[in-house]
Amino acid sequence: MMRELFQYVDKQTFVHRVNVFSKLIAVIMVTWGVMISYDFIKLLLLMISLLAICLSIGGLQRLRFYTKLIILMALAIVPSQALFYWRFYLGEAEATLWIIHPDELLKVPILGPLLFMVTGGKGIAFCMEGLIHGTLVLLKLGITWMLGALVIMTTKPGDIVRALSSIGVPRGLIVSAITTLRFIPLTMEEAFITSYCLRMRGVKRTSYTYARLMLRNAIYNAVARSQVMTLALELKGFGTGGTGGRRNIVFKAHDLGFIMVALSVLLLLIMS
Amino acid sequence: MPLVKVKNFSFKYEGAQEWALKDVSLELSENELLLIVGPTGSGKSTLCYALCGLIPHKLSGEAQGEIYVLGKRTDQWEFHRLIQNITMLFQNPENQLCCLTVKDEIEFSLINFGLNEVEERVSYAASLVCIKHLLDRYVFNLSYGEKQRVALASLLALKPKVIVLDEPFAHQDFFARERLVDTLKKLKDEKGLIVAEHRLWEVARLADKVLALNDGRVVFYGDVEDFEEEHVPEKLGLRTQMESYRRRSHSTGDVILKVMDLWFKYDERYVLKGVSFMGRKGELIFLVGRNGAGKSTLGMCIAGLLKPCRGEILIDSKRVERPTKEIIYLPQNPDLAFVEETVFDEVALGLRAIGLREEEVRERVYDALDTLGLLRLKDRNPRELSRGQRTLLLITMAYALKPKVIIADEPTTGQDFRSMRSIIEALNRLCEEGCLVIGITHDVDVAEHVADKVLRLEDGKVEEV
Repeated sequence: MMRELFQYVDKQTFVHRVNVFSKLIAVIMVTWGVMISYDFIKLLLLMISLLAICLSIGGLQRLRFYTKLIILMALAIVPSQALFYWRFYLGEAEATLWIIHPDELLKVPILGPLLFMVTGGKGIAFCMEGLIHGTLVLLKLGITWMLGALVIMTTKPGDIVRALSSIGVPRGLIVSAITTLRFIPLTMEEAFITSYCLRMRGVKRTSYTYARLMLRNAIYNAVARSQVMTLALELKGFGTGGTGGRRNIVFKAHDLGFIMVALSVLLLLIMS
Repeated sequence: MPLVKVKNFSFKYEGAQEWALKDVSLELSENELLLIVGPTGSGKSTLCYALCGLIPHKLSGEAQGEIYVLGKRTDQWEFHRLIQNITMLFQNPENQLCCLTVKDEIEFSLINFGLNEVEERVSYAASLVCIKHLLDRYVFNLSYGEKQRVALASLLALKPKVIVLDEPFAHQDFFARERLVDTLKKLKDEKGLIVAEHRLWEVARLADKVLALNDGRVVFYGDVEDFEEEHVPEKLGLRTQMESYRRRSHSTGDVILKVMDLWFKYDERYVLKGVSFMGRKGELIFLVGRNGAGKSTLGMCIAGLLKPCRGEILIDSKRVERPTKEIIYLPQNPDLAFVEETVFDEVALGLRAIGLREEEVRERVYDALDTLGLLRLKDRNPRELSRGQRTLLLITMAYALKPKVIIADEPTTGQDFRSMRSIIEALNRLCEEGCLVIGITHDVDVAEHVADKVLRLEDGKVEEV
């Protein structure tokens, strides 16, 4: 299963037939719309629609990972925004429910004054506005991930690479992109082995040492792999100044249709 | 005119103190196979990089002497034109495949070079290495040998005049090696071939000339017959055959490991179908089988890393259900286990984690490093060591922790004879300490000459050989 995450799904759906440029244009448009929109209902509907499309293309198995990621982010973002909403601390939002009132804080020895100081004398409160803001941030992140998943599941890596190259994205970035796309599944399997090697030597999974050592190993291996990959790509004529490397991309009716759909989504999102 | 001519070429990597290559000269004509041999770290890969122009075009350093490809100096060629005439297959095919399907992978270079007859070239390259039936398969679902053939096909599609292959036999099982020999025979009829390898007996029968390197210098250059007559392989400690190795006497220790009716499947495909065997204290068992037979899967199941669908694993009558300190699995790629900056800290990590005092840690680390011959390297970064030394370090880490069972995944793969000998001696040392060692390998030759017991895994079942 690990190898198939983040990978192309070999099907012949409408999205598969759309050329990579149209997909990138559509993703940029929708992402832009999502970033500036604060309409909860529209974003929720977009998220549900994308989820349904991804589900029909990749099946439940592929989406399980993304779902877990979204749940994890929900647990991190929503409560933190509801309890520590930045506008509340700037005095621009009202508390819906006090968790720790500033007056109560001063009655608690040592920790109380410390928290009082850290919170700028505001205490800790649950803010409905913060909850909505957190949910909106989560929706925006979720939509961006789903868009990324949709492109990855419906586009061959080679096409993504060539498209990036032909729009002038620097070669170093493209090599990183290839390495990421091609090796994420493998890297995850390797991380499993490294994690085991640490645990067998008694390093606890919950410790800071474990996280630090895992990260160090991942960086070393990624650098080593990228070096070989870069040389291999050079030998395959990628980025060597050869004459080719760019397929003529033709915009057909379904490509234009796809861009129109994205444009409509953008307009819907930005229209109040 | 020779296809490739090297005249007194020397090269030093940027920032390095020592020359990686010194005064190397060679010639390669059409339909010739030049075998480059030498122990690990002798400069074989550097010479390969220089031959196909990666040095000086993509890897910088100080170079002296000249390399001519088709009569023109490599530094005077435009790189993208040079690599259409001479190209290189790297040791690990996994790191040179960037597309999803086999067909895409072969097309990738053709499109990059803007070549027209894509379909014909894909078909030509695929038939040359017998992968026409794989064209629509996903690259990541292929076996190691198949991946190597795909990587080779992606280069052949460019129809280069010379192909350089860096240790192509290193990770292959017997069948894949035989197939590769057939491919090389076919390629030799059309092109010039340069093969860097330290397993000699497979390529030597195809080679026209041999160039032996040691510490970056040429110690022999001539015919295969003279190479053998002058006993160059023995002098360089290269692997020719395993006969010289003494087999251990059989262990009669108590049974500590019982594997009973083990079943395991990936998706819907069973790779283990009722595997059963026993292991004794102080025994050295080698598990052999083809690439993809399920050897590593079995190793991981025994170590508690993978959960079998059915069956039991008992260590001293206790059931193994999750990773335990009593069984240590050493991965095929040692780099996955290295997390510290020095060899000393790498061995000490496990001992510190179990809460030993620093004096005790020092004592045990020094003892382990001394016993397995790595003490002089204690302050080096593990990643700077040679492949053989890295595998030895992995075994040392396990040795310091004193487990009951050690599973070593492909410990001898890709090693020259000298490193292989040190690794086997280290594994024997673990057995002498009462540890059960299970080695996993596709190299039947090694297994038969060093193990107490050889188990063959085929069609999901094991049988004693």
